[in-house]
Amino acid sequence: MWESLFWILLGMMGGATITLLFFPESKNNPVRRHRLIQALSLLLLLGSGIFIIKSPLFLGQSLPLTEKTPGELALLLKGVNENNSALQEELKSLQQELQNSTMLLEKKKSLANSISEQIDLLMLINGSHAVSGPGLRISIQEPSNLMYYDIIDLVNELFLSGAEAVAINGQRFTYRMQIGERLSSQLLFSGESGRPIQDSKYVITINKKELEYPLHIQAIGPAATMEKAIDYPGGILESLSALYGVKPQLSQSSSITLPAAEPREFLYAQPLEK
Amino acid sequence: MNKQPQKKTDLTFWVVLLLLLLGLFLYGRHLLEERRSEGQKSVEELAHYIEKAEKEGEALHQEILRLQEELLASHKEESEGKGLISTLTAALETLQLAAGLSAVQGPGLIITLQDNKEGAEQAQASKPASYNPASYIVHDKDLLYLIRALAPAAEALSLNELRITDCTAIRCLGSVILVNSSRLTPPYEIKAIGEPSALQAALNNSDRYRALLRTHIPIEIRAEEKIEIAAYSGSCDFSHGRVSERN
Repeated sequence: MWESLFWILLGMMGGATITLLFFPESKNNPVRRHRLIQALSLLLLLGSGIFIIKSPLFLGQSLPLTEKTPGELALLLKGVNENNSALQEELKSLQQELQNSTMLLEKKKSLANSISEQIDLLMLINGSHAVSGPGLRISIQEPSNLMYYDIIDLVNELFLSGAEAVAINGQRFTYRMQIGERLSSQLLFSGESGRPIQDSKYVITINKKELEYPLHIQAIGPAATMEKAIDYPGGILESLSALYGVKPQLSQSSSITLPAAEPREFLYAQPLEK
Repeated sequence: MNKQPQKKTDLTFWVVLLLLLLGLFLYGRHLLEERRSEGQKSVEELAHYIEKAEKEGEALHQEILRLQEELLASHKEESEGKGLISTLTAALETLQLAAGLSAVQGPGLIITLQDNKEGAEQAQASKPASYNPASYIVHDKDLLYLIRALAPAAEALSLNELRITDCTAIRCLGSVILVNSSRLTPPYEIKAIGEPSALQAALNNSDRYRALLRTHIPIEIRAEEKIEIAAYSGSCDFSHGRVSERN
């Protein structure tokens, strides 16, 4: 398009020149002549401008590939190939980095899964969650002369025979559970004299609270093994029966649910510095 | 008279300039044509290779951009993963501490119990008929009740370096005492971390402790500023219980 325009302008300039040269009235008319010269100058400047602006040679612009010399093209091809080689190197490096990063990520995911599994297990062990499972229920309906030692022994036997979690009257057993006794006194009035008599006896306490009856001890674990471990000739249940006349009821269950334990606080024990 | 040659000079100048410009343009075109004609075939081939290589370069560039984005996303995920692992590790350490799976240190009491050998020898010599050796040794129940007495005031407990956990059972097995599947013999050393005075009070309130003192079982109690208790090293079998669905 620019080339056509250039030729048109050139034609116009030629026309103007011919007019100036061959038409005397134009020569003799200073105004017309002056205007023609102005027009000619304008067309000349426009044409030169277009020529300069659009000429790639003058502007140093890259010519279309087909207009370059083979030598220039060879150089260009070398440059493009070198650039591609550098890009390929960068690509390889990125691929390697991505592969390493992906492997690291996979390792971390695997580590996170492993830690999560350990956390779940520890939460079960610590009693952080309510827990369900098969197990054994031991019930003593009536108040008896049981001593706190008997409760400790019973729980000890259950853990010895495979219990994973135990609860006493709905309170999850932990090694920090208090099982003890305290002297409980109450005033009784004698029927004959009507005088009050102070009746004192030791009562079992669980975490400082008086044990209430019926007493339910529940243990999650191998129910049959736990039952056999406490109920055999000479076993703890026979001792309780012989000593206090207590006959605990045992029942195996396919699903027992024990509540979560109270959170543990550590004020004195600190992790040992490795 | 003077104006006529001046006009002619102007016109001649313009004509010359015009022709010069035309000549310059035509020469430029001629040069280009010359260039085009020089090895046109090899030029086209080279141009084709260059275009192909440029396209390959562009594809590589796009692939690099894609990988850079992927890598950035991967690094971001990795960074988030680091945070998650830190959080999980902290939670794990807290739970391990509570479960007795971390070695701990702190103030507390060390209680050492021995069989009363001297008493046994004297009784055997002086009263052989009524001599009962069981009265002069430390039993599993002694240890069990002492530990249960100390437990509410203790944050960590061990018996002969074996950590006491929620599931620890203590039972005699012939002449030895079985704790966490390990067999123990005297002397028995109970370590308890907690406030020493509270631990001492718990011990003093224990029937079994007082009974042991009455039977002259040698008991040594030391309050220490820094006691170390080892982590539980046994297995944690929890094959029956599952987290309750109700939670």
